[in-house]
Amino acid sequence: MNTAAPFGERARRREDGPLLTGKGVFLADLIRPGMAALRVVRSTRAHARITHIDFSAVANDPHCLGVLSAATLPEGMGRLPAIDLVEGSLPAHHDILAREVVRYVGEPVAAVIAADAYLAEDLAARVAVGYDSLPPVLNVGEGIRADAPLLYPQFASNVVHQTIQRVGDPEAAFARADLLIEETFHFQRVCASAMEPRGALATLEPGTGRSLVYSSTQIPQILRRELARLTGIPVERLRVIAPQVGGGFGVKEAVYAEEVLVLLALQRFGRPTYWLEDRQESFLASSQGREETLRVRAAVTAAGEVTAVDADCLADIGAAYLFLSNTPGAAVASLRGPYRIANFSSRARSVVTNKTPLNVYRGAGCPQTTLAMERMMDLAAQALGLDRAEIRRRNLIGPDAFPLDRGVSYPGCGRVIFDSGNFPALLESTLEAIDYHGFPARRAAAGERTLGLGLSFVVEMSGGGGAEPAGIRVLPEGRLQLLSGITPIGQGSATTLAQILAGHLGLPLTAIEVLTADTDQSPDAPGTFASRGATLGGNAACLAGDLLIREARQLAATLYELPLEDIRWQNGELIGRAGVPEPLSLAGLITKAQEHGIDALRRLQVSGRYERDAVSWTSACHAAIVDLERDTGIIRVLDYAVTHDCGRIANPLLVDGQIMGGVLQGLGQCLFEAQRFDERGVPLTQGFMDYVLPTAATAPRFILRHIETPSPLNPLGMKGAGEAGCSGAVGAIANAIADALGPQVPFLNGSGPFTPECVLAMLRRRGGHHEA
Amino acid sequence: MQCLDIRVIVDGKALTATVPVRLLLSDFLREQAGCGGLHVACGHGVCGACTVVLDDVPVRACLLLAVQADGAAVQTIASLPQLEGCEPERGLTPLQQSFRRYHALQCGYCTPGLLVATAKFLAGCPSPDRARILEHLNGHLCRCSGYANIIAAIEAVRA
Amino acid sequence: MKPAPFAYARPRTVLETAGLLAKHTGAARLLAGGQSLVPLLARRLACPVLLVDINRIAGLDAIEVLPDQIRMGALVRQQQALCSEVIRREVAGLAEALAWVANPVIRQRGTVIGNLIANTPGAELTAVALALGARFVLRCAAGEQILAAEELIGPGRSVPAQAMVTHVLWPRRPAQAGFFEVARRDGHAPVVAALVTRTARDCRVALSGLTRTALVCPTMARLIGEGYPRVPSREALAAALTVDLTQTVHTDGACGAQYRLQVAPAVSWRAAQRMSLSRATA
Repeated sequence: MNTAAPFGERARRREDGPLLTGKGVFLADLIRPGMAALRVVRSTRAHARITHIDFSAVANDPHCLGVLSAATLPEGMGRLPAIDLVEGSLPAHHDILAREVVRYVGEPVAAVIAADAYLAEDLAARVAVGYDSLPPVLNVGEGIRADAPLLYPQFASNVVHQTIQRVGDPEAAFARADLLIEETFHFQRVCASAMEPRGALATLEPGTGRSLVYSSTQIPQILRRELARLTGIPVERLRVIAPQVGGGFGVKEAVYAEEVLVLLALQRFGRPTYWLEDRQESFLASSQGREETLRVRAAVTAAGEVTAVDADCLADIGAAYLFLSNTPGAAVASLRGPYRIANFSSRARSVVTNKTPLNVYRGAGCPQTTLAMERMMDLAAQALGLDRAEIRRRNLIGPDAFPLDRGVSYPGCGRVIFDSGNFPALLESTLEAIDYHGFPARRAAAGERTLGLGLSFVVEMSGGGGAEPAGIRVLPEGRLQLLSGITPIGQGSATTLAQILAGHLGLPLTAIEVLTADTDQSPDAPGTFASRGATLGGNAACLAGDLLIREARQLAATLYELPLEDIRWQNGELIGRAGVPEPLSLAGLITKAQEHGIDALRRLQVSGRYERDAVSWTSACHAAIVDLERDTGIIRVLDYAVTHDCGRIANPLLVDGQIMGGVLQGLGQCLFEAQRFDERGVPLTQGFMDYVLPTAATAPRFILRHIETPSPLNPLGMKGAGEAGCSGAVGAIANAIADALGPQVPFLNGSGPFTPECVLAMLRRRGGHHEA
Repeated sequence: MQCLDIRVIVDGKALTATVPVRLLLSDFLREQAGCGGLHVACGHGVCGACTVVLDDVPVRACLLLAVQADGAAVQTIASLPQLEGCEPERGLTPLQQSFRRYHALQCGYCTPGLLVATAKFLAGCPSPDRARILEHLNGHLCRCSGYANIIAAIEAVRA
Repeated sequence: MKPAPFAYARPRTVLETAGLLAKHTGAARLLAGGQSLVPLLARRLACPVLLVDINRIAGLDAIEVLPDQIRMGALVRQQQALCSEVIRREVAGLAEALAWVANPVIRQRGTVIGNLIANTPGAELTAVALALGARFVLRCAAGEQILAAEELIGPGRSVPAQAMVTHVLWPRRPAQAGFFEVARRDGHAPVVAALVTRTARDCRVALSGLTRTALVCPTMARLIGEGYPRVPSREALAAALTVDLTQTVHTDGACGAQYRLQVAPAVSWRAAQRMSLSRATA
């Protein structure tokens, strides 16, 4: 076997060359002279009836190349899709352009097209929109009241979705419990803030005349399908390509109005048209994450066994569905994490409010459930006088329990069945990595500094989305092109997939080129989300590899007039049983076939679909040590340990990158980030001066370890690695802060953010001293 | 709309252009000077993605007007070899190699501005301690890497 | 986020600038470093008819040593002042404060005067200007005028529309100085900042961010000066601060009043610690 960077190596990324030299092609790099810029006129009201939209100030301006409003959209045009509607969900779909009512500040109301972005912004400012304000609903508490203003009067409620789960007999367990704990957790709204804002461009493809849409999206194939549905353009007359995507995190996992508008502008005005989101717009009109209120009750025995958990979740999904708006709340199904907890009940409701639509953001609900469950474990330990590691030890699912049906289902992904894992080993490894037993001494020796340690488990779904296609084309010199449906958004999938396929076929890494994110190459694929890329894309690549091997063997058998079973594939070559043929490379096979007048390249072109789309469950144990500065309230995360189990690892370098990046996003959520709204529903943060993100100085020292329990659900034994870092971090950091504050300080349960102001307010509530 | 003629040397090439006075330097460099490696991420000077060197001084291209660069020399990521004092056209620079080796980039959107600023920083401060590196990085946002690998990549190339 | 249209002028002299400002009273804005103004232009929160770019005016980038003051032109960049030996020696506290302003790249372009007259609550340099008694040289078509810092900095105060600040005058005051600030995140915009500076004769303290305008704190200063080199306790500083606190505590979207009030003694304490540890240059 050729072992040049096969599966499992810390291969450096093939993506890096262009990115390091500034030659990466992002959406904005595709704009050509003559293309028109589209600017969206956005609602300035959180909730209002539109009385008029007046284009008269721009209609005769020579710079104005076209305008769009709901009134000028094609007759009967649909609304934006939502793919996680369970039975009984109310159709709170997002308009392409607001029809009669606007429901959040930033909602697209109209669009203008001009020769460049400066002129388009000038024109947009002169479009006069009249509003009659309606009372806004700005939080779920208001939204569920009987007398609440309704966002959609036809529904008679602002609750648009409900999921109920039940396992065992929770009432009986609560009745028998020695200890009852009840807490309500609040999670603030956050903005994923990918460094590249969104963007879309529609043009006509030279030669074919097809409509070609480029978008900075995680889901080009779904975008194509939805653009076809909305515009009536036949799907085969549409091509969608995602260029380099400068970060996704779920924000680019939606079909947005602007992607439709550039295509409409192309159709209507005949000009290739682009839209580039600016940072202010991304705070108004890109999907947001996390906001929910989660009430949790736990029944605990005197021995520290948690026997039942009941949860009630109210997710604030904003004004309308944006693709997966219900998922974050419904993810409360996985609240119990790694703990046995035989009895469980939950209700999750999605409430519409006059705020920017919520969608999945890295972790998609798991950060909330993780934080809540892990806080409950610490509170139970505290109440019982148990060690925090010990109470977890007593409740963890054992290593022999897999596969384990948890008795609940995850919306859109079927039953929750944990496939594999070794939770006790994760715990012990992380305790050792963070020097848990040495921590009391370290804390005592910290002098003026106040240290806190927090533990957190996370068990997170990965995969899903449906069957994953992969194709392979063979080039004349014997190199391969892997056609993958996994859209690269920074995760390094071209490197990982090449490693997987190279390892599978026994070919050198350099023999494989990976082509992605183009509907001409992969017309029908789910895309990049739910930490599915490496696992699903990798297994699909291997499946295509097997098809290639079969075709190659058959071709060789034909050429050498041998039975198929006499030809083997070994170490990247074909080998005959009796030494005939001699080891033959793909290039050799192609040459030989040409001698026989056979078009080998066509014969060897294969494609397949990996259908076993079973969800696998990634697990990890996190530990954070924080430093609390008692006189300023500043929290700093000093050390951060993770033992992570994502099954077999194709590239540890990249998996570690995913974990650290995820942890920093969780850290940002816990310490700095919040999107807030004023009493009229106007977002208070519209830039990075107000919306505070983590910087290098806030990064902890990392200690990363791995345990690999292969998933039995896929041949490669892999699980996802993209999100568990983020989900685990909020739990560990919140617990560490609570630990630093001490049990006498009433802790604000949730993800804060634990700003210095918030921390001093908590200390003040104890009424105690804050002397360093 | 008032326009002015400007002469700018961009990555060693002399350019003349007639630009609207309100045109931002970042837009001029991207749209008229062919600097696709210059990325605009926040447009209000916080994130550092658009950092370029203007007459030997690192600046945010989104916080300058194109007309302000009249008569000046601008260096973007394409000038990284010169900024690092190594031969151009010799493959990746030491800093680029270190970023690759330490996996200090994921989506790569913040990377060119970060490299330009870091090359300039190291030219003035060849052996920074960790605190200096963190102070330098305070002007740069990255949403993918978790920063640890960026710090490691810079530590690995300091003199 | 693209600026609205404006006309652009690039005067070569202060006189020419003053003429433009007189002609376009209220409709013109000066562009120096642009690190605060350009984001406002981009968001169209500032839409001047005329933008007057003063960057090509010769001589305004000088730091001059006069018999009893340091004269700093309107184009002196923050990083330039931060690295100036003269400033470090003669205007104790300014360099210490500048090290906290924004980040090194922003400081390369941002000017000292631009930062001061932006009149942002909490801005580090306003505390320095008030504590040290900086004065500003204003120039308009009618002539030159010198104003004290407190006449320009604060709510409702601003540079008259027809005037340009050409220089800031810093009294020469070799001293020990310490500066400290807290922010929502290390390195982010300041919430509360404190300057403590001391010579053999007097000690001065000013806080920015606690009140809308930077607050000079003579009671705290006396306490710190008398106790030197020992730093008074936070409680003692807090008690002194209640005497000095003559304005309403500031509150805004970044941070509420209660935190500012609670953290101010701790910030002052740390600034005083730094001052005590600094090498005496007096």
